[in-house]
Amino acid sequence: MSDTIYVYRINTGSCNGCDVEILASVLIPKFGFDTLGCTYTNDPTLANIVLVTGSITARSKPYLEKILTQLPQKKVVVALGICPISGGVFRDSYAITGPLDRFVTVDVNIAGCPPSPKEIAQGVAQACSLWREKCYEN
Amino acid sequence: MTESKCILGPFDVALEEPVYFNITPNVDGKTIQSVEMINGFVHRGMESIVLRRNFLQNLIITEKVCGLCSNNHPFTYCMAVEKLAHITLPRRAQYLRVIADETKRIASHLFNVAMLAHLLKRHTLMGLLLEAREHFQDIKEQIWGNRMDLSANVIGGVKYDLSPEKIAFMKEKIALTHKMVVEIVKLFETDESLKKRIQGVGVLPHEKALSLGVVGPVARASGVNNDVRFCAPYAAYDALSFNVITRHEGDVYARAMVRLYEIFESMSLLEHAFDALPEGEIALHVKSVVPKGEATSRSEAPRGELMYYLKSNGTQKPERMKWRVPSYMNWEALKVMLKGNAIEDIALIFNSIDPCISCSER
Amino acid sequence: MKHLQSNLTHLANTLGIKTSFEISNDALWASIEDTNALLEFAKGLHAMHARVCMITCARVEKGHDVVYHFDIKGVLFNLKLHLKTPKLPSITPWFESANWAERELSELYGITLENHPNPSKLFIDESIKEAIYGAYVPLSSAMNGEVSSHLWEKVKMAQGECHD
Repeated sequence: MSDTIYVYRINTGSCNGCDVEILASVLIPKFGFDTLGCTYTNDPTLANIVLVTGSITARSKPYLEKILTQLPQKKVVVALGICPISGGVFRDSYAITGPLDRFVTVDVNIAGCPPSPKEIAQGVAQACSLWREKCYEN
Repeated sequence: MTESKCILGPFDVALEEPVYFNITPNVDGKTIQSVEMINGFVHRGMESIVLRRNFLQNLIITEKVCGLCSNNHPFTYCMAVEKLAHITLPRRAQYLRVIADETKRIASHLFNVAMLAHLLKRHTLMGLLLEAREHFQDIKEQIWGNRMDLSANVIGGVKYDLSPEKIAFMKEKIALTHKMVVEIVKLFETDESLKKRIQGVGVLPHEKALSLGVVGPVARASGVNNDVRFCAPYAAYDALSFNVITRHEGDVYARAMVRLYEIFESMSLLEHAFDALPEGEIALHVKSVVPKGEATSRSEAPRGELMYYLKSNGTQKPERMKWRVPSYMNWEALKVMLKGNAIEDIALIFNSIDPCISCSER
Repeated sequence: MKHLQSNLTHLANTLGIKTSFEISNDALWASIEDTNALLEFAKGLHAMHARVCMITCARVEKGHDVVYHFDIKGVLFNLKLHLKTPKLPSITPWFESANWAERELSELYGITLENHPNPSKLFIDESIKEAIYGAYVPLSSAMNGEVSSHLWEKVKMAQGECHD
């Protein structure tokens, strides 16, 4: 099988802080994303690692659920930022259905509001090694 | 290890898009006839949350409206509360607020122009812009401890102070960034193929900009000056001099150039503010109960005018709290900008209004 | 601001609208009772090169409280109005800048706007089913650097359907 690890990203109503920092982590060499051996994909069926940002708004819930059914059984789920982890400051709102672990088992939490690109790269690295372990098991 | 590449653009959120577009092409199939929009996805019910929290808690909530203008929301909210409570801030706090805000503006503008370079597939230029932005991210991390949310404001002042050492650090970083932005501007002004690609694209005529009430760099690139810092000065802006950058072309190029030149203005504002920084307190001790009344406040966010309305009934929690973000005024202008343009330019034109969805949806 | 205050007072007097203009918290405030006066007043404000910054609405015990926030050459003018019945004349024909704000009023507060040029839903409504997204392009695809090919496909498909 291919060495490349595919990362798929889902935004469930993020304030764009996390998304900007994801981008920074990927595009700026000093954060070391290059060395992780993974690449982003637009195809959920290819996903090995799933990054979720945002607090899972009521509107996005059905879309999240639909995407979850398209994802492969074997995967590593990463909750990125405090929003998918706990709902953050939005947790009591009528429009919030999170946190993420209501819908899917979360393997890695990257806490922060937003986490720094360094932390994101670290978290993705952790997810990569979890993925390799999973592959090794089989 | 295999090669790594980013095939996801910045706004490639795979799921639930806050804004959907129905684009009708002209008969030639290459240009846009009309655009219809459906909005409404990152709605987190924030205007309802804030009514259930007290005035101090809401300070934190406003910071989370949007990552990119995360300083302007608490800033403008604080100004509304301070008006209600009839608080006059210490002068030093006013200056420190300006410093935090201009730092955010520079980083935000650099990010937007970097995305333009990304869309134009100018990877070296994009790298340069993002590297320049990293200097400002370093400043934010050093001074405020976070790369995005500064948490600089508090009702009655600010939460951070600057020592001569910190100011020296900021000046050093600003000088480095300044040099890079000079290079970038030179490229934008001399690279004919780059200019050709984005000049005349996505034009918003002056009259349309006026009637639609667009704000920020979008307005200024069409020759409309409604910069709040200039038209209705707040904090320390009345004491600091700066030029409002306007252009008349109203195209993607003009909007990029307005942002780039505003970076220089913000840098000189920062330098002025450092030099004129008054001694004194950084915050007043404020009682958490806000008197009965209503107030409005405005500030110039990186994307334009941000406005808050606040009504207090004398209890710990606001009776009504509403805000209107710059992108909210600029979305409708997209229809004008897109009409008649090539379909392949859609992304460029979207990016040129620097849209912020989480802001608009609340 | 004082100057604007007297101009506005003059305007209100000319139109025969009973109100007073107060300066408070760095802004001008006034309230009117008659919703029909709003339209006349808006026309006058339009001539003064005003722009709509925001419209605030709140449900109150009997009806709605609406505040129109105008910018007139850098000064904020807040015009308050109490609605007993949820009905308002649209000022969008004079102020394009009121377009979204008014649609938000009608969508979130159920206020009927008379003569709004584009009264369609602003935010996605429950009644709009998923099917519609097929016809619409998500912002992500539109913002993507590789948008062209994707859009071209859609355009070609649409054209193919037209020709059939």
